[in-house]
Amino acid sequence: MRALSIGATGMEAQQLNVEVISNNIANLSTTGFKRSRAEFQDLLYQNMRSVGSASSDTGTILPSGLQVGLGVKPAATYRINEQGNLTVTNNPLDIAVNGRGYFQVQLPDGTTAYTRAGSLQLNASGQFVTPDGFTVLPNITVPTTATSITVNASGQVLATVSGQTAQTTLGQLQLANFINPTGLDAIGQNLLKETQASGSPITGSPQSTGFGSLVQGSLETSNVDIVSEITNLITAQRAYEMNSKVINTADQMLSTANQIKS
Amino acid sequence: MQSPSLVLLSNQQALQRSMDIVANNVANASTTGFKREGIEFDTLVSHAAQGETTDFVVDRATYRDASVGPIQTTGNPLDVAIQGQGYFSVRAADGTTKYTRAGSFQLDPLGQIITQSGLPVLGDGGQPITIPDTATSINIASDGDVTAKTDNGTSLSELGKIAVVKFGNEQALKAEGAGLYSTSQVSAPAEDSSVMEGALEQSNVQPITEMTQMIKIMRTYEQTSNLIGQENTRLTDAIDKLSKTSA
Repeated sequence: MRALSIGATGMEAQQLNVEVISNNIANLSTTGFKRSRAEFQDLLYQNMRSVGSASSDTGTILPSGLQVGLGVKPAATYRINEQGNLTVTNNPLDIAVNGRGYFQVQLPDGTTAYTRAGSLQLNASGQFVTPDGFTVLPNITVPTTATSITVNASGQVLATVSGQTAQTTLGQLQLANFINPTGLDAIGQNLLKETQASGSPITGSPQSTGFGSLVQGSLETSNVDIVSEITNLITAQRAYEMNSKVINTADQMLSTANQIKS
Repeated sequence: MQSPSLVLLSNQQALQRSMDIVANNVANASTTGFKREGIEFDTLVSHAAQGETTDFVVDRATYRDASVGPIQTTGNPLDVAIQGQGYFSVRAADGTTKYTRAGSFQLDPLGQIITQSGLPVLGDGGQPITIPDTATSINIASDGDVTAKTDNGTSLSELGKIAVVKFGNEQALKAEGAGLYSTSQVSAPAEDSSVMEGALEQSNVQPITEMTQMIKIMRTYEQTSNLIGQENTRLTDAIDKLSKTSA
């Protein structure tokens, strides 16, 4: 009886679906979070009578075969890189990317990670860092004498230093872009890493061709749509129930068979 | 003398198989582009001695319900749903062309449009479609025409046209798993179908139909089992009575 194991693949798939949905809901307020979607595919088919095979020696062929599918498998969970809403925080170090592009972050092990979460801070030496203390590349150091920091749409970082009227240019923030951003590997802490699927990073200044612009004093909210997540959750739960009914029925059929000769 | 039991047995086997089909439909209730399957029963006539015939049950074929599933919007520009009949063409790893209804596409590192299994999606010229890396937004028109825009407003056109094809006998497509179908039939462009960007075709499995189907299968299975039991009793009784009269 294949129905038992087919039902089990269905329950496993729906469980993964619920896990993906709950992670989306849990990250409803995570800055720069991109919602994911679980994608399923049908498993292999067992051919009892192969379609198109000869049904007689006069050359007639079977118009349709007898194929039994063996269940479902998760194919992928992929991120939907829709732009999230921008919310104004008025914190000068909150910088949102409006359009395509990721901030580059240097990890403690020396490798580079990428993030959309622009809630930046300064460390003890005046460098731009993420909330985890990882430095943002390229390195920009804010002098202690600076009274205010301005980041303009094209990524220039300017500071007003006490006693000077003109602003000093401190540096230029750069963004990285990928041909296939869905292929980036999420490593948690809002960070993503380059993979073979994403392609190599292409760096450039904000507002140059292919890159979005920076918005100072704003953050990009997560792009999770709570209503659609909840409806997806309901669908997943019902599908889970149906699969358990399938297992139940298969079990009852087997038990009936066992009781034939009582 | 054994034929009542054997006829019932053929029914039991066919019912088990239809339960497997229902289970597969239910398991794929969330599979993009999945088409529910049904099973077709037939009689297998066996000519016994003295011109008597016995009809056995045989499951002749499975068929796909080709009706279009509900379209759900996802907001992903590379999710494409076919409205109407037809299939996307993809190039399988062995170089052959396979067909699918599941339009949850992605880009690979070269910018080619690929399926979730990494197979390139073919345009109407039979070539993969490549999106240049300067593109910031991708647009797929209802006829499958792929265009892109760069940030400075330049339009990149003529990138390709996603092919939607149809076949003479849709039922003769062989399901390969992973949403793919293969066939030796020659495809023709499906002109009356259109594609929709940012949406996916859900599976066309109807929960109510599958559940009632399941109840029907289980009850028939139980009845058949009872009949087999009664047939067994009848035989034992007969042997019992006959052996008593002769004694």
